[in-house]
Amino acid sequence: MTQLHFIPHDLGAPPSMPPLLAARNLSRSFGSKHALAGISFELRPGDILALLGPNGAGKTTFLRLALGLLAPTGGDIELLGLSARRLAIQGGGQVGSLGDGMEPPPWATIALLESLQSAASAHFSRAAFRRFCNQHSFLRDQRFGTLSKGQKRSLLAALALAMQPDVILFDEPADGLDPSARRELYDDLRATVTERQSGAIVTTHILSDIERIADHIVILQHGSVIFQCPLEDAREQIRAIEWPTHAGPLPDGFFPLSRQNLEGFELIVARASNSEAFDQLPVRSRPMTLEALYLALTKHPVEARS
Amino acid sequence: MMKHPTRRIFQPALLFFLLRKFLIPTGFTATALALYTLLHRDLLTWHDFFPIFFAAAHAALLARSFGRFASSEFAFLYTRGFPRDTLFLHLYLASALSTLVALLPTAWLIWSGARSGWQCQANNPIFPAVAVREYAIPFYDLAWFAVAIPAAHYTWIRLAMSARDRLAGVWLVIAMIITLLMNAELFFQFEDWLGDVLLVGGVIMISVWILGGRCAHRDLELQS
Repeated sequence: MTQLHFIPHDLGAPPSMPPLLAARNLSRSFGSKHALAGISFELRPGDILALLGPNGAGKTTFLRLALGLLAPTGGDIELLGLSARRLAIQGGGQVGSLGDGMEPPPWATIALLESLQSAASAHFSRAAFRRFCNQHSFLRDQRFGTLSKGQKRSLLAALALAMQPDVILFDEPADGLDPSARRELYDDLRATVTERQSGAIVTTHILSDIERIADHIVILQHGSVIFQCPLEDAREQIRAIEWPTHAGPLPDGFFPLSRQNLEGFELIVARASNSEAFDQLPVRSRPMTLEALYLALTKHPVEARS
Repeated sequence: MMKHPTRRIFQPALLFFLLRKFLIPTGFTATALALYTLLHRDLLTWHDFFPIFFAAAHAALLARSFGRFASSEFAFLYTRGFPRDTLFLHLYLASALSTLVALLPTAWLIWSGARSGWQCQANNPIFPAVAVREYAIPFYDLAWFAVAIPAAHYTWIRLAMSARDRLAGVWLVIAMIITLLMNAELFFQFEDWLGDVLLVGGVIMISVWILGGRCAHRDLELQS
């Protein structure tokens, strides 16, 4: 298994509060298939963590482990100081979730969903949920099955955020949403996370959204973490360099994360300790979008160092 | 201090949600059992095949309606924040209410004399003379449901579990053996004293299914 250079979580400011979620060497297998192979990372209060990766990388499995729907086959995952499984057994509604394969039956009315969620979670705000329903002209006796795909997503996201949860786990929350609804959803998510100092893990393939809202990114591939970093650090410390093939290796202080041989030069995605270091190079370097970084890391990774 | 709603044992919204899921099995059983009760020409007895079959079918349908563990609805319900034990309790409350509703038409037909009247109209010579001997039938039917429902829920939950929890499987085997004995009692008419022993065994069996089911349900994994 190829493993890229690992950028530790604590590149940014040292964490002062205990993590809301901590995965430690977390593994999960389904028969002989390893969906997750020993991943570790943390979610801290006030942070939105984007969990990225190609289809089948293990993102949904991770979220199901975090929700306590699945048990790990190795390592552990803690939420709010308890194992995820224990928290799921104990209940309490401190975890707001949304994802594929977690939808209410089509006959359920919006009023029933509100009552159900209100009964299950300690801080559910009926007022906030009703405000959302009014804004979107949802009727209380409207059945879930009559809503469009995007409306369903919006409604379930609103339901999860109205719980005022400590941990938010959103799997492809923007699936089926128009750009305006996507923006609204992520703005609401950011507001909830900031106000309550909760934490959110979001998986999505729409990287422009993530670039706007995420504090940290974790990239999974084949069930392993291939990259994790505060997004701000990634912006400042990682650049693409067009390095001439005849120029030899990169100078000290640059850590290549991705290499791609092109005509006459090598396109190297490298990390340096700060952005000024790139200015010392004899060739031009350019900052990268998250999408470009993601593609470089998943398509042209540097082989792991022993 | 007021107890927080999430810590309440009884959750009406959850009960309603589950009862709504049980609507079709309940309607099916109520109709089938009522039609059988109304149209069956012989004296109803506690060991008639069809009521036992209806009880088993009802229990299987309830277990399936509730326990489609890989379904989207199920994952939704289990990620709302309800404690697993609360979900389990309401599964049984909803099953009990569904059973009572399913038995209600049958009980009414027998106790109100409607069955007897219908049979008289159909020139059945044993009615209304034997009508009073059938008054206990709804209770016997209820007993069959009381056996079938825990068995079905337990089996369904157990089948959804990973193979790691072997202990639960042992309980299932014990329960199945007792069930076989009970069936044997039906067909071969053991001595009376054995009937009493089997009655006690039946109560133990139901308790094992409920308690074992609760433990298994706590460990249940949901994969969709």
